Amino acid sequence: MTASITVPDLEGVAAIPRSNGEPTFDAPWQSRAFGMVVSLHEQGLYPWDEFKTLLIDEIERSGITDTCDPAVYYRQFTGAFFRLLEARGILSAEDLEVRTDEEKRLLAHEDEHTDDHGHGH
Amino acid sequence: MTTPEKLESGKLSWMSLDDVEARVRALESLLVERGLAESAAVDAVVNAFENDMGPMNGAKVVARAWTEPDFKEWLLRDATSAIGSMGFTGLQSEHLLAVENTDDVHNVIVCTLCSCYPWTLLGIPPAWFKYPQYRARVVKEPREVLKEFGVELGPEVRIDVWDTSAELRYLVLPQRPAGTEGWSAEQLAEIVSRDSMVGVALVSVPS
Repeated sequence: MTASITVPDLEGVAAIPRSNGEPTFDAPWQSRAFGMVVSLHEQGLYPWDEFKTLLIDEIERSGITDTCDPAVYYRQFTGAFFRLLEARGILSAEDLEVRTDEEKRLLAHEDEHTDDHGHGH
Repeated sequence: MTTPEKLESGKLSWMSLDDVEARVRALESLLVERGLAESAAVDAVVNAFENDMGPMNGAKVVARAWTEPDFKEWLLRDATSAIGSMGFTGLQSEHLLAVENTDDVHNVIVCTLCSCYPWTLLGIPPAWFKYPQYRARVVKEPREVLKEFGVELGPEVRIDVWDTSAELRYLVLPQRPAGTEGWSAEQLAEIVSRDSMVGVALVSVPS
């Protein structure tokens, strides 16, 4: 069931971070962001180049163009994704703000839960 | 709390946000709620990226080379284009070189500097590929190392060790085993193992 996944092309300044040649994520949010961007593109919501142009711009604007740090790269990646959604009128900054606050509360609760029991799930 | 204005294009980079995890979760839940994203589809992309991107892609390349002489010729002459024509590109700009095993020559891949690896073709590299022992020893005593992998080569077979770099990655084209005459490319692809494309195994027909 994975044969249909096309790997999008991201090269040069927008290249995916890799550890010794392997692509890496160092936190789940990074892989979720990556998965969303690729799967919405595959569904035909936007052409890949539209995302790529924003990503390159986001990277250049941030001034950090040569990092291998996934935590930095996927921030730039997510920033570009949000700009795309906003430009297409899919999501507004306000929508995101409100939902982010809810998610923060949920995350805080999860942390508490983990602390209470001394282990996660 | 970050105000909505600060997130507008051009005003604030996501770089400075400390709640990026919550933001990504918010993005996903909003997109799912609006019917634009499906969590299962996101999972599928992540899984494909992390786990399933090879070694089946490489196996398909090998099986096609075994069944189509023109493709094999193209693969050995210009692997980057030949493999690109099958759609297995992207995310990397390095060039690929296919090296063919014959009765006289056996090829094996290593990355002595780090662990560069043609992962779009072969998936995530095996742990041993990164071990300093493999990296150092396969260069010095390839015959011995291959024996440890279960590949015993006759003294008449020359062993070429190819050192991968970020710019150039190798794919071993293993020898097609006897007893597979008339097999389709699909059938053949199933018996091509990752290790055979690194050069530390031969392809055999499962008994």
